Amino acid sequence: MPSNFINYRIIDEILEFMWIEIVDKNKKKVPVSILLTEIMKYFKNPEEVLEKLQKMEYIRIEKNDVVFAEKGKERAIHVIRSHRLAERLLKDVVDFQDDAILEQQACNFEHTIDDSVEAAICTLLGHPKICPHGFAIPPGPCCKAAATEIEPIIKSLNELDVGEEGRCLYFTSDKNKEMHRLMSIGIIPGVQLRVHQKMPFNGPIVIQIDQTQYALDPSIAKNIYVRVNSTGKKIKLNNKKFIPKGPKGPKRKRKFKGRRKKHFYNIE
Amino acid sequence: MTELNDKKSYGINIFRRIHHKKQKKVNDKDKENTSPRIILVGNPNVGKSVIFYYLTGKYANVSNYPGTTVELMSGTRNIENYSFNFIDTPGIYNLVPLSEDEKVTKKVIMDENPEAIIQVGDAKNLRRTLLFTFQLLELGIPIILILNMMDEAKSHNIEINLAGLSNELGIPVSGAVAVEKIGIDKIRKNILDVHKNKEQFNRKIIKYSDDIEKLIEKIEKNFKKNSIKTPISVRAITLNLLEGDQIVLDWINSNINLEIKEDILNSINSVKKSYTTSIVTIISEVREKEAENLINKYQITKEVKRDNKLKKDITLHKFFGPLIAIGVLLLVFLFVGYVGAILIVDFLSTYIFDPYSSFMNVLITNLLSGVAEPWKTHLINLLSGDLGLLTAGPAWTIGLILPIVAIFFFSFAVLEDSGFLSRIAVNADRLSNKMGLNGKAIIPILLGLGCGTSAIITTRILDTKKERFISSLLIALAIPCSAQLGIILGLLFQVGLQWALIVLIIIAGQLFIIGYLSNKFVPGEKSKFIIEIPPMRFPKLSNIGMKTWNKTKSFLAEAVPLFFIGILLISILNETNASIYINTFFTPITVYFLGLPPEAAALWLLGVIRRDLGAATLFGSAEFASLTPIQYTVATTLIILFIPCIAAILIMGKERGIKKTLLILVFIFFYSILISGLLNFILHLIFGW
Repeated sequence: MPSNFINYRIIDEILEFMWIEIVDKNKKKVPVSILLTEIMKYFKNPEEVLEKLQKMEYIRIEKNDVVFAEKGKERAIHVIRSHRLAERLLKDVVDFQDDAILEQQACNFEHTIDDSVEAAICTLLGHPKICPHGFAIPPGPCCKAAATEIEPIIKSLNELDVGEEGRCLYFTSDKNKEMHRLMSIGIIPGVQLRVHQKMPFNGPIVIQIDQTQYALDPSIAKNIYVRVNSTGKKIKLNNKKFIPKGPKGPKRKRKFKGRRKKHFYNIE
Repeated sequence: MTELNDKKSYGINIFRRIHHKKQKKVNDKDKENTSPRIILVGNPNVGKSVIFYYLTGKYANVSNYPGTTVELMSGTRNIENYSFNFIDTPGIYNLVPLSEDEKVTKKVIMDENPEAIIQVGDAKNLRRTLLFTFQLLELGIPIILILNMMDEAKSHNIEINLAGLSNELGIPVSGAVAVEKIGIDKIRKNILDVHKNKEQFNRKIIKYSDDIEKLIEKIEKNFKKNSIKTPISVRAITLNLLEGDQIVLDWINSNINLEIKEDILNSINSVKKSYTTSIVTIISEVREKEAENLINKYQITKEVKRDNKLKKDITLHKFFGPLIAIGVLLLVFLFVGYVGAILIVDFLSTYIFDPYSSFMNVLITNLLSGVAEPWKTHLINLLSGDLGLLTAGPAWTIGLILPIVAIFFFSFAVLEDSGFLSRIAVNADRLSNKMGLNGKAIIPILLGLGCGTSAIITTRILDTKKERFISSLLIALAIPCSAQLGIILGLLFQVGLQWALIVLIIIAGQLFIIGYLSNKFVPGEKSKFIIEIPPMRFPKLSNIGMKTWNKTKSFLAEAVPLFFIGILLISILNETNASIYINTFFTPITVYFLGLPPEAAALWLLGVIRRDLGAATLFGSAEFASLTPIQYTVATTLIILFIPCIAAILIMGKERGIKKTLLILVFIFFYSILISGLLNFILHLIFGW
């Protein structure tokens, strides 16, 4: 049901829509007409929204097409990141299987989450690059920082270096059977694992649990997430880096009631 | 018992019976055995089979790699005056079956009504052992726990309070060093104790979350109300169903009427659904916590000692690992080829079989001097001479095949027991992936270099149908068995090393090309590689000797009769001139396409009876002394690629099904001729006509 007020949720939704059109579908720009129809879903007077977005310096209109302005792009990245990180969090850590609820929760998440929380979740998950649906998660400042100075706390087993140890946290296997097999050989959340050797050419990974060694297919190891034991290297976490840069959306005035349409488009 | 009975349903068991004359299978005579049954279970590579050997005096395959026990062994033996029937099972990790091995073990537990289950565990891996013990305890069957390899645990500075553990678990727990025969008497005593006071043990049962416990209670009531008898406790049935156990589900489907069944399954599903996390994880975590708890209580570890040996384990080194694996395999083949096929064979033929044959030739000619012609010539040719039953028969089987095969099995046993085989599997994984297999498949394929028949049985250790099909195909096509290999290598060395190399390249090429193509075209999935790597151990000579002896014995039991039948058939074909018709019929292929003498055709078809026979007769008979190197090379390639021997074909029919076997055979028949023909053509192009 279209709302009567322009609230930050509507803006977020529109920026999100634009991101999917422009980045995920690789279209470079969105025709005004299409954007207007999209806005119609949330607000009865779409031109007003478009004008407001322009005034906030979120978008620019070039001829008949809409493109991101700098601030709009930042905001869009934040929204998309929050949404997809939330999905990862729910799917991987909480092991939530119901897709509809997952989607709905992630949608609520994206509007309420703060930049620093987003960075914290991202770090916890080991700066994932794709969401459970296979779309890219745009890298945030924390990911760029991680690449240079911060070791992610959670890594998948095949990212561990030879000789590194860690505590098994969770699996993200899609196959019950595979997970069951891992558990029966003693790879259970909580146990200490040590990477003994990684065979060349993406070959098997030799790990040690207690006094036993196993060789695992790298595609299995990829699904095992571990918290790396601190190796004495100091982990620098400079929170200042993650202070939100984009302006916060307008204060929430009223609960958003409209049920939104499914967020991801099947590109086939 | 369907799984086990399947083995009976084909009429091919004759070979199996010869194989295991003394090692009766569970479904044969022991079915009627009324002695209480004791089942041995445990993780792979913990020494179950050794303990089985000491308990029953029978040999089950003992090795240092997972998945050796593909067949169930059983044996009956008295302890004091009580008779017990012991059943050895494959090493498994889980009672909720995921693999073939686990299915078989679960079925045996459910069908055989065991009086007790002996769990053999690795003392230095108490956690993994206990996780399995907890599952066993839930079955409601008396359990006896043996912690084996106490010596290795000790060298890791691990000590275990056995009495405390026994008290807490409510089951007899004892330590053992099975290979040194330490602790076997204690096991016997524990078995007797359990036998005498069946109900006195108060076994520890793990409690799960409230709703799971409520579910168990509810289903227990339901079973009681309908007075349904179960082979394992209702608790185990409920938990197994929650974890998705197919064998238990099958049991429910065939033993419980529809109404009750739906009631049970519905309540199980509703509990399953009430969890957002997978229920398997939840159950495993409870067990894990309990195991951790017990380890803290009863395992005394004076400072955890890391396996320093492993850190420096060069066999798993990034670059040296594969090199060492290849090096060791080459060494094995040189050893088999030189020591077995040349030194020993030469020695035997010079000092024993050559004099023996000349003696027999004279003897038979003299003995048959009174017989009328034409029978005299026929009989003389049948019994003596180049292809005589009494001359070539013993000379080939004992003088030629036996030493080669024995040396191969000896080398393989060393590879197994040292723990090197698992390392070869790890190193081969990447390459096997390209062929739709994983590293584990190297085990049956290597074994195929010993004997294709047992190799095809061993493909059972692979998890998916696709892997089993591809590995069977590769074994049948491109893996020569050791007898054949020995003969061929020996001869090719004499012809020239470069020709041996050409054959090797062609055969290896076929292995990869066909593997690669079947990965593309055979439907199905490859399973993911998970293998346990045992520590490198110095193999025990007695165990290796026993293993070599047993494997060679069963190989000979299978091969010798067929070999004699084969020789007899060749002689008959020769004497009746039938071979001339066969040779004429195949002349277009043998002579024009393959460039071989016409006599080759009949010998090849006989190669089906035994592969090595084809090789032996081909190179043994007089006409072939004048073969050119190119002809040798082409003939050898064809013999290796050609369809396997009849025993392997029969086993394949049983393991893979008639349809797939026919498909494999027809493919190999045409493909091997095609490749050899092409080789003939190309070699002539290069070296001139």
